[in-house]
Amino acid sequence: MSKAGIRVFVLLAGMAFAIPAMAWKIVAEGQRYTHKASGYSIQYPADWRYEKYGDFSFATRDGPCLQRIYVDFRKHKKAFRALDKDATPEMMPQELAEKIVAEMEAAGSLQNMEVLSNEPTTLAGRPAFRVHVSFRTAVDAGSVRYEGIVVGTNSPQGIFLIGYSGSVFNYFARDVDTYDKTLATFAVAELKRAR
Amino acid sequence: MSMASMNVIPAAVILLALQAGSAHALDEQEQRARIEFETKKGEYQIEHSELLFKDSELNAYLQEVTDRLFPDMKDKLHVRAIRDPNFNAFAVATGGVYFNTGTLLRLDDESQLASVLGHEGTHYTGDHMYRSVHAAKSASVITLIGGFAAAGFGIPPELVGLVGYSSMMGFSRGYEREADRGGFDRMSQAGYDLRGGALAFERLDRELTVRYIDRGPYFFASHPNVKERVTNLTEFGGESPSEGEKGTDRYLAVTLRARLDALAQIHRGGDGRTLVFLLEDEKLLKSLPPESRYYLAEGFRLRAEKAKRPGKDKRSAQEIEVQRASDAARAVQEYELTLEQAPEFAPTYEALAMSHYRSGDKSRALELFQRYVELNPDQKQTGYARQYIELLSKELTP
Repeated sequence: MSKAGIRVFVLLAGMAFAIPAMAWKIVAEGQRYTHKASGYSIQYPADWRYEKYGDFSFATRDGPCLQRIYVDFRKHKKAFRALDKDATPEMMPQELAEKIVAEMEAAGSLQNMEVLSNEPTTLAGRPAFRVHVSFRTAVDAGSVRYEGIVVGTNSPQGIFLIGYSGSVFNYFARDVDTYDKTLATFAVAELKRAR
Repeated sequence: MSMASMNVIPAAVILLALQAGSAHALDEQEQRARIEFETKKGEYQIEHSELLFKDSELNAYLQEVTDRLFPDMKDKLHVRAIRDPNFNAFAVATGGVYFNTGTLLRLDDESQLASVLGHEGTHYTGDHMYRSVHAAKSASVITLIGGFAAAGFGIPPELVGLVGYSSMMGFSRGYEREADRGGFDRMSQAGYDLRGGALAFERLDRELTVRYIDRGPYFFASHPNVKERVTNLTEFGGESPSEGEKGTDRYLAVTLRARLDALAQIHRGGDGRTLVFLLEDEKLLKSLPPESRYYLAEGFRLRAEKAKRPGKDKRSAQEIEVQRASDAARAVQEYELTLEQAPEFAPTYEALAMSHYRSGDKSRALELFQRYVELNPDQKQTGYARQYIELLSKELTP
């Protein structure tokens, strides 16, 4: 699988073995995680474990293969690596959503992928998209059924994707509300200079 | 085949070697019982999945054609349509025959359908499932190898258990030739046009070339290869020149819903190359409702968006750019033509609006988005269009 493919798979299916060893931190009540380079901050659910990996951070309650909430910041250049495509600051939410879906499809590791809904929304006061998908992992990865939601918006500094994925069995439906509450805490500070 | 499956192959080989050494050889009765058990288990999984295409008229029609080909096998061969946009069909040892909606999309008439059903039915009457397992000595080997092959070729998980006990991945060359001959003879006895099979596989051969596919779960991609199959069927046809029945009208009417579903699945998968290949064939396009031209336009748009960069394509950067620009222009032409032929079909307005928005013609884009929202009352589906209307209205207001 290509690096870009692994990234999509990691984000959606939470394959922990693809991520280098990490030291989990426990989210304290009211604690915000801040990403200085892009200016975003988010309050992950209290008592969940969180970690960062490059330009994305993520949190889980029971384990990344079971459920996870993540923020992925991508600069416009090579924003869609799996498609070998750039984004531009002018791209509208619908265009971003199409690219995100195409990227998931190109990953190849997500089988029977289906877009359950794709609709406009707002994120941190900006026009955004919300895509809800279902898929299975490959047969040799257990053929586990997952659902995932990605909410994304554009900005002068890059694209922000706030996602949630979980195993359909037991986890996904249970933590959707927690994800929506986390989404509401997402904020982007105006940067003096776009990076 | 994915990297992950390649990594586990050495372990599987060791496992197989251990099994081969320890398991006692099954006699014929035990082997048949095992195949039947595994097949029923796999069919139960299909039955309880979302793979079956639920269209009672279509399934009855497929059964009727099968019974006409195999009057001696009534109540033994049972055909069902499967929701899969690829070209494939397979038979299992219990007499079940599963037929992809993607195959229906690629056939022109009942005689071509009969050529595929005749071939698959012969795998059953020829006892190929048992004979293949017996020849492989161990059913475990069949299951495991089939499983790896299925994982590599993207076969739906619900079908993996059947790979080793069905004709899904093809049999030996000898059995495939036998099925060709058997199917052809059945077509002849049933009074079908005998050129059907060769025509269907000629189209498949062209599609495999255009899509750069040399192997796959495609019914005749390798057993023997498609060209050889076309040659066989043409030769058989030469022995018995045909004035037989084609059954075009009924075929096109009964299979319409399944063919449109397969087309929509290819579209959702973002496969512009396949959409263009299939729908540039005017014969196929004309067999569908006028709004289907929208998928041809979408095919050109998707193909333009997925034009590869130099380094991953043998063509020069200039050649790729020429192709991309030509595809993008052709997409707009086809959208415009769809608007003329199916003016009430809403998705065309949205797609064309996006095209104009991207090219900078914002007033035309606004007009088209507004028309799209008028034609489509679904608030959720038109959410993005309304977002564009708001933005463009502000931008274009002096």
